Amino acid sequence: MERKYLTVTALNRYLKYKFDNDMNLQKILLKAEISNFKRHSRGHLYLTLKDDKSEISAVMFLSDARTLNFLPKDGNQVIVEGHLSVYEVRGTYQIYIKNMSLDGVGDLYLAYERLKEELAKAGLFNEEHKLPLPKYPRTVGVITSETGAAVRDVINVIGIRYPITKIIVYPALVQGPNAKNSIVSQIEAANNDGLVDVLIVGRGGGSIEDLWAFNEEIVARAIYNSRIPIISAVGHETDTTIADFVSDKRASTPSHAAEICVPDQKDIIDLLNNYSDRLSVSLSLKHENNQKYYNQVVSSTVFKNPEKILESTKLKLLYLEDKLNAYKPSKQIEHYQDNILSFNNRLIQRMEYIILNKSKDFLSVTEKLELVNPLAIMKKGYTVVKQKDVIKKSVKEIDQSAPLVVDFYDGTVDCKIIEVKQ
Amino acid sequence: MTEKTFEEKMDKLETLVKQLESGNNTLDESVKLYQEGISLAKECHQELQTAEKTIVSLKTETGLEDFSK
Repeated sequence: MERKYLTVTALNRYLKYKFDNDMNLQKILLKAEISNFKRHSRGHLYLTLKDDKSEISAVMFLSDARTLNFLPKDGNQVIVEGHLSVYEVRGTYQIYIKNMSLDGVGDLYLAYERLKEELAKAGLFNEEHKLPLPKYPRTVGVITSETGAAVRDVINVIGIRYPITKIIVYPALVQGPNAKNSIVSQIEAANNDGLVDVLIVGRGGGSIEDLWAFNEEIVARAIYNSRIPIISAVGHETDTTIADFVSDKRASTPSHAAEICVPDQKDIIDLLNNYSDRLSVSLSLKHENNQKYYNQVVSSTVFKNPEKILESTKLKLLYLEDKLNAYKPSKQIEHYQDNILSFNNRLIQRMEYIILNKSKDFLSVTEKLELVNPLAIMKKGYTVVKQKDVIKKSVKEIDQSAPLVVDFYDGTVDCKIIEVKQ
Repeated sequence: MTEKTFEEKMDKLETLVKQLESGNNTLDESVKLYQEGISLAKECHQELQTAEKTIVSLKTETGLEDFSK
């Protein structure tokens, strides 16, 4: 009888088929410890899951590994969800991990994530709900265990930085099942008392279970509802709780919260000195400026040579006086008198001139008159013949019957006409 | 008038400094601002220095108790 031989590939393929079709292997929930943990450069995780007697290979691909909320390492107790299959190339079977969380706290993580998402959606973490912290708190409230290290840290740091502030400790349980109610009631008490300007709510480091009260919804809501600003201070720097998201300010530790809460008096003293300096500088600057102004005024001509101002005034006065004098009435009169005189003179001159001229004319006329004087002509032998006082210029005018009078220059002759001849 | 808080004093002081620095005051006003500022600064300084130890109280059901170490 001829034997039938299988190939390795066929065998592994058959095995894979068997595994993949076993419903029990398609969803496996496993509790185990991690060992041989390796992170592939591409981001896939390779590890061995074991208990005290047995072990199994496991792989978690990058797409699933992204959702991990912790960094797996050897020795971690984990809860794993996945399915089983065969890797044909190597003929090995392994668990393909879909989800993995730390054992014991796995549920807590889920709860944490769920609450965080819910409160974020409700807007409790929004910036606009954050209250501003007082700059110089008069009284600081601390909600924590009165016996823990946290309260001592806060008191010490505040005592060194800003001792003038008062501290009121509101004792609260910070772990265990009653912690959440205790914290909530003290937040409410502090708000009702109204004695503190700011609250520090927190505790020192511990396991995630120890810090759990600060991940509870009622604590988150109490912090959100507080009218007093709250600084959260839970655990160590690496611990992040819901309280940190909802508080007005997150501090990494209680000591850090104290530092945030109060100013350092050294800084205040520096600031006070700075203020004092600035006051002095400003005042002396003011004084200096006034001095400068004063000097400027004093050194101005008005104050330096007051006579200079007088001088110019004097000059002006003189000028005005001159002007005034020019219009003095006596001057006017004088002026007019002068005018009159000059007119007078001119008149006299004119008169004299006219008279002179007239007398000259008179002389020449007299001479001319002399030339036509009939007496002068008659002296030369001419006579004038008249009849009845009428000068006769022609024989025809003669009346033969009337006497004839002949005028000589030195007398007259009455004549009788004898005969008239023409 | 009630005693001003430390914060109010510091704020007032800051205002005085800025007012004086603005230079928009007469010499008289400047001197007053200066005097008020300096005395406030001294007051704050003194307040800080006279505080020896932080007063710590513990809130109990009956009220506040001393909680010094």
